Amino acid sequence: MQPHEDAVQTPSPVQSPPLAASSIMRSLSGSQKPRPGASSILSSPTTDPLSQSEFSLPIRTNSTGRRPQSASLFRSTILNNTPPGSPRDASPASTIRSTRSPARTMTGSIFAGTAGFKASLLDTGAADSPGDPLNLVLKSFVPHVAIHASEDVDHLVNAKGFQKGLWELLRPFGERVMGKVNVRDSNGVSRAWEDFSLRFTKFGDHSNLQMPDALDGLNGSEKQAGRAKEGLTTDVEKVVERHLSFAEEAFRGTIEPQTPTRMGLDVEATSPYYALYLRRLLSGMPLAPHESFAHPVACVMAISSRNPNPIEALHRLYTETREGEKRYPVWVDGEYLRYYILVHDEENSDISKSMALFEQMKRNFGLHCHLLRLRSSECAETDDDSIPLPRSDWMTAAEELADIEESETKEDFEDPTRHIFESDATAIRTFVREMATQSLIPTMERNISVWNDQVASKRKGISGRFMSLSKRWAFGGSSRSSGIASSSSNYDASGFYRPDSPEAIMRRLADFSFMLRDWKLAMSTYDLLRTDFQNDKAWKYHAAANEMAAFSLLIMPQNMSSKTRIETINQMLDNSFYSYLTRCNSLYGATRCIVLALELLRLRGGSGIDEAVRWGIKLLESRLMGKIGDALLKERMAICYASKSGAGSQAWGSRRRKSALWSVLGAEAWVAQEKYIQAQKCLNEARKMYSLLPGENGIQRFEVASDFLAMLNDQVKQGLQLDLLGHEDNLIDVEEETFDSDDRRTRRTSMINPLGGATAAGMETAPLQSEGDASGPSKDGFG
Amino acid sequence: MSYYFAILSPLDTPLFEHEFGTSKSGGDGQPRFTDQARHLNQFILHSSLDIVEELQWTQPGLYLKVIDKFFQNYISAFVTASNVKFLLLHQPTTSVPTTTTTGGGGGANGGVVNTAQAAASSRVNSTSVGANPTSPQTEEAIKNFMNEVYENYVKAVMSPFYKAPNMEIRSPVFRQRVAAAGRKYL
Repeated sequence: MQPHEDAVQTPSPVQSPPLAASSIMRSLSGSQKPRPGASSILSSPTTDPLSQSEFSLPIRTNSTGRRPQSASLFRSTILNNTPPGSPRDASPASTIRSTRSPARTMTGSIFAGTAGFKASLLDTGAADSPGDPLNLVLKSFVPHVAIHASEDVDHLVNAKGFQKGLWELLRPFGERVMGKVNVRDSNGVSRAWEDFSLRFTKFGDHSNLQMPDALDGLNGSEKQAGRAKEGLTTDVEKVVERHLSFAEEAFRGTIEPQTPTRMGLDVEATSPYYALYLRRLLSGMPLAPHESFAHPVACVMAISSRNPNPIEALHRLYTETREGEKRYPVWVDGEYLRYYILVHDEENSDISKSMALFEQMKRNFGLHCHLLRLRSSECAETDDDSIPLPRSDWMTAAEELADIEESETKEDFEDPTRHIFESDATAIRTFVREMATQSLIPTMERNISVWNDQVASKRKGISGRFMSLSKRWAFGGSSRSSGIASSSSNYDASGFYRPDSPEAIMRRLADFSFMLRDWKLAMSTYDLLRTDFQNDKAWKYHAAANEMAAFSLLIMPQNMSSKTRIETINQMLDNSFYSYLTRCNSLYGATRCIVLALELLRLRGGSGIDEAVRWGIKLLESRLMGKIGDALLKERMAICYASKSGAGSQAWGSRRRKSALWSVLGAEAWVAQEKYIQAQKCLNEARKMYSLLPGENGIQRFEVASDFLAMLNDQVKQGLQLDLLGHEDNLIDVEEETFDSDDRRTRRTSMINPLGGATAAGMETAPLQSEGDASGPSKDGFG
Repeated sequence: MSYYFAILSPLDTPLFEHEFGTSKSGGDGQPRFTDQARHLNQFILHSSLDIVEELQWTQPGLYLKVIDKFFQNYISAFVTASNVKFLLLHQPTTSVPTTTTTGGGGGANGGVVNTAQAAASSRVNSTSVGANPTSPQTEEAIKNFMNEVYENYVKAVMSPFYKAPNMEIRSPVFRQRVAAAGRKYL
């Protein structure tokens, strides 16, 4: 790796994409600077090494005619997709990532110790790198906070350029609460988390609502629910598809023709497309009765200083959260925290009046109040203290799709990047931190301890077990056969538990402790719920509880042999997958369960990796994902296997051949979709893996397979060349290079590769690759 | 049921390849691989060497049973004393419902687990070789096949014109004998 200062100065076309917000976050969270202040997003632009360059897309736009603005829509993936050498090195995180290898030390096959399960996954360091699936898991199961603002606040925020209201302005700030956040677990041990985050949702926005099947109308329910859920996965697919096409198109415009050819898959860093896929999948978490992650933990009610009668307005907002059309469905607990903010207009209102009003609010509504001081004028990019507001990483697939479509159809589409004043950003950051640390987390902690004492411990004790037994058997066979409606069960006939039933409370308890990362409590509670739900035949609940139990078990440290552990986990996942898919027809649930389990198992290393791939195959077999997901998953399996390292010089116990096989499959899948850049990456990875084998022959002695690989390679070459044709012809220099004794190979090389040159030869087979690489101009840490 | 049998040198070079179909229960002994499966078979077989290399140190016998599963393809392995591997890929033509796969395929579980589970969940027609790739009958049949091939292999490599272990086996007699063993047992 070259030092990143060099990379920044290197003139390169790919450096020009607009600065992605995610890259700021990556650079800051990935770096291990001792200064915690640096960990907030949107830190002062002058200190940020990345913000110095001007961001435009000269080359790309010149050649493709695509408007520069739309590029910012794709920046979550494009930064990582750019050719090696410059952009990735520009992020300080990349150097760190390469020096630290998460989960690498934990191999659990016969060639290494089986100590992999002794530590919590969070201690492995994988959680810190954004884009890593574990990090995504942590960031997706976070407290949801609904934002309910009065019209005058919306007017104020609209004037600042945010059409969707206060929610749009606040949302990016929830993705990282500034500074450390202390959370006490059920034993009173406090632990500080640096990367705590919240999800702001819009109050009354029930687009992700998922009704229990029984309420959906009996006949069409199955179909409708199935379609709705499928809609989500399709949207995710579409979004990723757009990103891929954009990359493909952008590649067409780049000068260097071999850019992607030297890149392989990166084992340490997650593929940006895969990360995007996961993130969009997780951000569409439905507001469903069977899990309470998407239920609001708090609701922020906002009024502004412009409001003529503020206290009344707040009362009205409060009433709207209890009744009226916008309120949450019955299965959501209505007793969530209410938080009141007064948005003070710095430019038009009098601060002393606002202070007085704020005092009055505090008297009326208690301590959960905040005075947020914002400027009301719109901030232009050219203003002195303007900073770009990142687009939310956690927007839903439908939202992003709408944005992309708009950018394609509208002529006067403008860059969606908004700018805000730094003072505003500071105010909002302070607000978010204060709300999280002083109201939200204490409330959650209190709820956890109350519920744990009053509900869960009763159930966990001897008498509780006895009670549940007697409850189950008291009515004998008759009540069991009469089904869910029997009086012994809290499971409502309409398909959900009332929010005040012990089961629902315990589910909330478990979810809260999961969000606050108290895995042990979460695990034990989910475990109890599993059996309860099974007895009640509440299958969706059953599936979700099993899923989360498996996740917490995977994340938490525990002294158990990895074999028993994996068996337990497998059983839970099995239950969950079967219940989701077969009993409830919930495609989303099944997909999420398996994909996340796969990732967590992979991080566990050792035999976990074999299990991970087994689950992946199961997911592929069930055909839950579309074409894109399929290819991404295959690519992912290659990485799974590649991350299993062997022992000794022969690397016994590694899975290089397997990894190569999946890479080839991935390449095949990408070629079928004409995504040649991705295909090329997979092929390179396969070649790299084959070249690492002790035999050094790779697959080339297998004739049919080797021919197939050559054919695939040929297709990719042609595909990429098609992209380049008519753009740059002077770069296609055909040079004959003869390689060692194997003339059959060489002949084929020159035959099938009109592009010729070092890269072409390097792609052909594994043993040649090393030579091809060496003759290439730069070998920059990707070998 | 179709079979793809290969002998691999310690350096992953195929020394001998043979495709055949089942001769039991009315089979005509012809492989039923699709064109697409041809190259995939080679990839799969090659990739399961990873599992063989791990398992050969844990199992006492030379025959390692079903070591790997890739979708509907099952791989059985046999390791000779010179670290030459015999791999047999078998693919049931009638797709067996995957009820038996709970904990099945993962190579690390080892053949013992596989067999136990398969025995527990073996279905009615498990007596016919091949319908259920992990049933004890199939394991036994494959074991016999492997042993017979091994015997012939030893004779073949003893030929003064054969340079062990990295030379391709071109002997037509050996091919005939492998085919005969396939007919006899599988």
